[in-house]
Parts: sequence; structure tokens; C-alpha cells
Amino acid sequence: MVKTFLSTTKKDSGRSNHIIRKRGKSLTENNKAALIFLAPMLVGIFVLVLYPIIESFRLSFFIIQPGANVNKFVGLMNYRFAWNDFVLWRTLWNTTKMALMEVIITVPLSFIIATLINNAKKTGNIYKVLYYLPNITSVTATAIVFRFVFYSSDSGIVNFLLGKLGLEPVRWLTSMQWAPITVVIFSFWLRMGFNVLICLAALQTISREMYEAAEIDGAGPVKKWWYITLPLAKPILLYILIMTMIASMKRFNETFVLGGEEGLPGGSLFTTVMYMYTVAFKSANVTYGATIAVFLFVIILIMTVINTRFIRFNESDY
Amino acid sequence: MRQESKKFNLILQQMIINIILIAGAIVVVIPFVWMIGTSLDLTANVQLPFPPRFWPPDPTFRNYVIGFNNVPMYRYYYNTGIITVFAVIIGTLSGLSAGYAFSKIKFRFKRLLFMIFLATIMVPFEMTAIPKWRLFKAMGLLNTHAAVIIPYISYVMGSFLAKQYFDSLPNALKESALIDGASEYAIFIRIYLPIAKPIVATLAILLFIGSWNSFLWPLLVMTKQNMYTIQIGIALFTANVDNIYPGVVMALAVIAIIPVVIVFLFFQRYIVESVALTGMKQ
Repeated sequence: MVKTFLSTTKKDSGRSNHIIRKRGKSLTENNKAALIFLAPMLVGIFVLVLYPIIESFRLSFFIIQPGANVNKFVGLMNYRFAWNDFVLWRTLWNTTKMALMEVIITVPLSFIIATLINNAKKTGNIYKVLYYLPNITSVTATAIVFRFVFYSSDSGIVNFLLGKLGLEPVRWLTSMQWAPITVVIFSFWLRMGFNVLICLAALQTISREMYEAAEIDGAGPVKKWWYITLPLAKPILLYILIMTMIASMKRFNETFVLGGEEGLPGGSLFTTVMYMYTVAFKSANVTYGATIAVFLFVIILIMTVINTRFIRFNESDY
Repeated sequence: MRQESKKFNLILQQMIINIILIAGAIVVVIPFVWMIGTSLDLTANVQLPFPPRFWPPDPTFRNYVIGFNNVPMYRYYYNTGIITVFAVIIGTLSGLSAGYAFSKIKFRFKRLLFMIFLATIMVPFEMTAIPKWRLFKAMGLLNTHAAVIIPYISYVMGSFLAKQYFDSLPNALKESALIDGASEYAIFIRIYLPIAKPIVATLAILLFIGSWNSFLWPLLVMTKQNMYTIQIGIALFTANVDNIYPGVVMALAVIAIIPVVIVFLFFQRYIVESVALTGMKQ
């Protein structure tokens, strides 16, 4: 997706360049106009994105204690502290565990639902809207609802249904084993529609002829799905996988609402971003907070690089 | 004979697909139905009714009244409303003009700038949160609406969507206006903007939903209760009451999502298309 942006800039700038040169407008005049058009966003990017990134790195090499008026360079001390900080590792483990679980259910299910919607002749659009609905509602409000949907007594819908099936009620949000699973189910419910739409966009690029050729060879719907759709959708599945992974590593809102500031029960919902929030804003230790942010940034950066590589790699498949 | 069995197979296939998808849709929608039902159920305030029910025998708006009496919902709505209106205006303008520049103007460092813009969307908000917060604090902007509004100036995703749309509009429009001696600004405002309504709508809708639902940044900069947005307000309210009043809590949740759901149902086409276009959550 990102690549298409790049390729269009190149082509178009060439074309408009040609037009403008022909009309005798000087390039400096264009520069000035472009600067004015870009000014608001440029200021925003430099002041609110680029400067904060550099400042986050800088802060992570300092300790600041506003009360004691301490502001001193400590080299890698914050990082050494982070390396031995078992709370940080615990939050990373919590976050990664939930991320992996979410990827495992999100990728196959979104894809299956997308192929079904793609094959639903007249009703496809209704499903798109219905499945996307949770995506636009606020995480906070829906998380509040899910606290009761997954209520630990049997007055919660899920436990009630389990009871009907003759199963014991599960302590969804009150036991340390089940709470992360509950968050993952909630998060899947919340974001699935988005992944389904991306899959659908990719599926619609697969040409009909390929299926028709397979039909002539006598392939049924399941075979066509397995031998044509699935291999061709591989790049988009990788994309969803990494995007889900990145979003999950930044998990904050749903665990904050479902588990409170401490990520209850027993800190099982305490994610890395929640830890950063607690350190920087509750304990007012901005420098160590920044160190945690850098940790997270590096992890996400690696995933982003992998993601762009995958997309480039498989672009010829389309 | 063969033709008929093929037709039958096709109908059967469509039936199976629709049954599975309807089942899925029910799972997706049920929490919303239950949320509305419980919000109208006054007895749900002692504890959740058993067995669970989707509709109370005597629906009442009392939970909403209790919610409004105990939580400053008007104030939260006002804060969220102000923030959303300005976020939409600022984000749309900034995104449109940047997108136009990338699409229709040739200038120095265009490619470099575009790369920087691209890199920006990959940067997680969490990485920038702490210095940004310190910056706003130094400027005395904590607990002001501006603190939440200003960051929408760097709505980079909007500039990509706008660029893509302007790319689809012919350059010939610009060429003929240039012959007439029109300035770049006049061309943008008088020629391209009027035919770019769909993208203006898309940006405005995405910004509306995004700013209405945003959570972490408002939580950081709005520390006084009278400045809370609706999301912060209900999140912190439920954190304090701890599951005791499901009916009231659900009523508040309903109030928090209603504007966005209405906007979505009216304009879903724009949203669905923009996702397919960018592959990015806005």
C-alpha cells in the first residue's frame, strides 16, 4: 500500500513538473507555494513527532528529579536498570503473550470471514458494515460492556451459555489465566472487521479467470480456496499478522478499562504501555518512562521493518 | 439435468455462506443489543439479572437519569464536542493542503519530505507521548482543550488519503488555470477543492470518530475532572464504582458511543472505502 504512494509521487511529480516548466513558472515560486501548503503539517511533524522522538532518546540517558532539582546525565544507567527490571520483563511477557494469542485467532478467522463475504453474492455489503461496527465504537465503552458479557458469575452471557452446555462457569476476568484470554477475545471482536476489510480488498484483486480455469479442471469451492485464494493472499495475511502484532504490543486502552491501572487480576493485564504510563505519569519518573518507550519503540521498529520487507518481497505476486 | 443440479449447488452454497455469516454477525452485534437492554433495566443495578435477558420487562430511562445525576456527563460531552469539532477542522485542512502539495505541486525535497511523512505514520504514539506531554506542560496547555486539539495538525494519514484523491483528478484543470494566471492557492481553493468533496467527507468522518474515541492522550493531558472527555470520564467512573451498577454503567457507555454509531451508519461507505485504500487504521 505504502509502495503505491511512492510510485505515484514519482510519476506525477514528473508530469506536473513538465506542465509547470512549460508555463514558465519558476521552481522557487513553486517551492514557496508548497511550503505554505505543507506548513501546518510540517510544523506538526517536526514539533510533535520528530522532536519528541529525539527527546525520548535524550531523556533516557538522564535522571530528572524536579523536586530535588536534579538533572544529570547518567549514560546507560536507565537501560541497565531496565535490563534488570523484572516488572518490565513481566509486562513485556504479558503483552507479547496476548499479542501472540490474538494473532493466532485473528489471521485465520479474518481471512475465512473475508472469503465468505467475498463469495456472498448479494449480501456482502451488509456484512461489511455489521462486522466493522465494533471498530468505530470506543474501546472504553465496549470494554465496559465486555466486563459484564464475560462476568465471572453465571449472569454474564458467556458463562450462562456455557452453563447451558453443561460447563462450569469460567472466572473470565477474575483469574490470572483467563483474564488475558478474555482481553484477546474482546480485542479480536473489536478489530476483526478492520482485518476483514483489508483481506477483502486483497481478495478482490484476484482475477476471476483463475477460478474459471480451475473450475474447468473440476476443482470444487474448497479446493479453489486452498489452491488459489490462500497462496495469493499470503502477503496480505503477513501484513495483517504484523499489524496485529504491532497494535497488540501497544495495548493500553482495553487492559486499562478491564484491569484498572494495575492490570488486575494479579497484574496479568499489566502491559508495557501501562507500565510506561505508571512510571512516567503516576510516579513522575519521566526519564525511566522514556527508557521504556525506547524499548517498545525498538521492538515495534523491528516489526515494521519486517513488515515493509514482506510487502516488497511479495509484491510481484499481485 | 446437469444444469439444474449446478444451480441447486450454487443456491446451497449461498445458503451455507449466509448462515455462517449471519451467525457471526449475531455474535458481533449481541454485545450492543445487550448493552442497550441492560441500560434500560433498572433492576440491573443491584446485580446483573439472572438468567441474562436482552430486554427488560419494564424498560425505563431511569439509569440514564441516575448516570446524568452522578457523573458530569454534560461537561464531558461539551469537552469532547469542542475537541472533536476543532480536531475535524484542523486535521482536515492540514491533511488536504499537504495532500494537494504532494499531488499537484513540484518542489524541492519532495521525495525526501514524503519519506519523512511516511516514516511518521510508523512511529508509535507511545514513543512521543512523554516529551509531548512535557512540551504541553511547559506551554501551560495541560487541562485545556487545545492540548488535545493541536496534535491533530499532524494528521499524516489524512494527507496520504488526500494526495491519493488529488492524484486521481486531472492535471489539465490546473494547466488551464495557470494559463489564466491563477495562483496556486486560487487553483486549490476554487478548482480542486469543490470537486474533492468525497475526500473532505472521508477525512472529516475519520477524524470525528478518531477524536471522539481517543483515550491515552486525553488521559495524559486532562487531569482535572471538569476537563475529562467522555471516554476518560466513563473509564475512570467505572474504575471507581467497580461493577456495582451495571445498568447505570451501560447507560453511560451507550451515551458515549451513540454519536459515532450514528455517523458511521450514515457514512459507512466512506469509512469502509478508506480502510481498503490505505490498509491502515486511522
